[in-house]
Amino acid sequence: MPIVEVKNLFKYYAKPENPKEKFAAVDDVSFAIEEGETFGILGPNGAGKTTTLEMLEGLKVIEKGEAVIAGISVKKDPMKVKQIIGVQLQESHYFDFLKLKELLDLFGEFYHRKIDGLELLREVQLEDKKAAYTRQLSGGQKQRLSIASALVNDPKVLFLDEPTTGLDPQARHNLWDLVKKIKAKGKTIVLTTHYMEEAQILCDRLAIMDHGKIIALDTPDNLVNKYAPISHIIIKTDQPLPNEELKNIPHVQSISSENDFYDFWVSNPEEVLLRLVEFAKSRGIKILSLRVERSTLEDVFLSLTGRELRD
Amino acid sequence: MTLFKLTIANIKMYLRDRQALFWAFFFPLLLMTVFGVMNFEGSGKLTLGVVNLSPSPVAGEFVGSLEKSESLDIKKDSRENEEAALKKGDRDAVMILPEDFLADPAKTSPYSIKVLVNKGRPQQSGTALSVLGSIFSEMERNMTQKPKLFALETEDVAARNLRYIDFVVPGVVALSIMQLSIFGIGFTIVEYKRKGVMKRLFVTPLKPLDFTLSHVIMRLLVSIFQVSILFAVAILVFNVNMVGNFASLYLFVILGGLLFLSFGFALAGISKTEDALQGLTQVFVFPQMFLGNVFFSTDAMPEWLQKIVVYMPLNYLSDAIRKISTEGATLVSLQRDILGISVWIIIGFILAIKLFRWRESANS
Repeated sequence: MPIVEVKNLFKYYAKPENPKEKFAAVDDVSFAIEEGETFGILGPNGAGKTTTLEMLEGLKVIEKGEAVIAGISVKKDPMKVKQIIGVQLQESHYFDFLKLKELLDLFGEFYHRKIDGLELLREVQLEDKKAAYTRQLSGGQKQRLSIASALVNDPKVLFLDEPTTGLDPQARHNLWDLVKKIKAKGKTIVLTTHYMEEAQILCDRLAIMDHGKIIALDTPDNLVNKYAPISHIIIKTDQPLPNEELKNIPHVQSISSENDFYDFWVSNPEEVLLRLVEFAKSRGIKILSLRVERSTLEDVFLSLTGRELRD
Repeated sequence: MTLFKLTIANIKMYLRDRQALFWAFFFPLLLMTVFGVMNFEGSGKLTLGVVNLSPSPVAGEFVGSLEKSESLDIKKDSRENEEAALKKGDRDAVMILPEDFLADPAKTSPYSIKVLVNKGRPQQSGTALSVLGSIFSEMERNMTQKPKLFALETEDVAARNLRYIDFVVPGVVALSIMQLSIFGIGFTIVEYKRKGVMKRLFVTPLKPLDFTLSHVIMRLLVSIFQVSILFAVAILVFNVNMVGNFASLYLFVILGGLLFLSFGFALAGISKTEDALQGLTQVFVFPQMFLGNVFFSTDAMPEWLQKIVVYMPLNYLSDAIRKISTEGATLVSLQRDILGISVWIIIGFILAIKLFRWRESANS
């Protein structure tokens, strides 16, 4: 039985340009998440990711549809749901005048739990900041604290809303390591992101969301294979290649060349690569450089929506 | 238990917030000191400049006896300086004693004594003239050895003289309770709303009632502490005589605190930003600051205005605290204030419950 079940969720907001009309910010969203899974919702800003998450967390009222977490209906028993979930909000601010350890201890109190704040801080590598105030933390440290505060009740489901937005690359990688660590402990994680790389690295399964709708849902690899099967092999050789001959290699879709570079559009790069190397060897052609570009979720999004997904 | 821990945390946070401490403690003390030192009514004495042109020792003695008078504050200087001081408004009147004043005991014609009065203060100069008149007629009677026909006996009826500082300290105390409660809670909540702290709290199982109560308890404790310090300074530094008992005083601190805290929650509920809150709160606070019986007595206002301002929340509170402090009023005699404050508390509670919503605060 899935630990999170969302069925036909809708959320209507007034249109900004015409408040009398409404539009669906969340439009018939359904998905199910298994225990221990890391489930990602990927999409551009305004796609409805955060609204979906906030409906599951009880922040936004569910007017239409159903959301059940660990067998408890969010609509009917929000207080019980709050007990078993951990939430990291998109922008987290905490009390200015509490030290980190005091803050975590207090949050534990909200769940009627005695927690070891220091141990939690150690887990997110903030142990040396235990006596600091939140305003003294960097962006990455703030996000790690935010995750620690979401773990005080040892939640069944951890919600992370764009955990790395606004962080520099190093802090981002740091946070990914932390999420992987939590994931390795078997925790169910639901995260939203608009970073392809993040979705690819962290998520077991991924829902791609646009204009309030889920337009695709699968594992990252399956999504790529299904929606963006083309990869590029780009080589440079010491002499011109016979394009017409090479086109006959199976899985090669097309070839384009510019200067001494040849760009092979292929559907099975491993296979084509082998054949290409063999071909060059047999003709005495030297390969000066070789690069393989696999399709990414970016290409998936492009092929699904006709638009690029930008930060 | 959550309530207790959250209250402790709130107190901790409050004590670490220097700015909040300044407004709660330093500022009202400053206000009190300013009013204590400025002393609006003056000493109650008339300031009389004396220019003594007479070389006679008797004239000197006369001036000396004037200086002993309780109702006169005597300044002695040259005619030029005294006239300048009068023009500046530093004197109520200036008296010039001529060169021959009391120089010749055998003289029978009247001495011509010139008194310059301050036109801008007709009341004071009038009083100065009548005081001088009675001094001179007393002196004349002594010199001419005429028997006294009328003996006027006066008796001080009021046991204590109510000085301005005695009046203003309870006012400042009431004002501080209002400011601390309404601004304190208002700014905290709006900041929590704007920064998303309310949102973060909403997704935990924390009960809104625990959250609200923890702030109410913390603020009431701070108010009690604040009022204690204000009264301690008033009593020790400004010799204010606190006649009533502290139990009734603290009861009103709590009632007043509840009143203004509930309005603080209500106003914070409808304000999205600190600026919006500042504006709204000023509308509520400003008229009360001046019409709420704080710095000036309501009795000094036009009658039609009096009829309105007596219903202001702060008016009830400053009236009650003043009566406790200056008259030692008991709770029974303060029924009207208790009733007034209670009605306002009920209004405040209803507004707070309607306007300060847990989920809306989290989502704003």
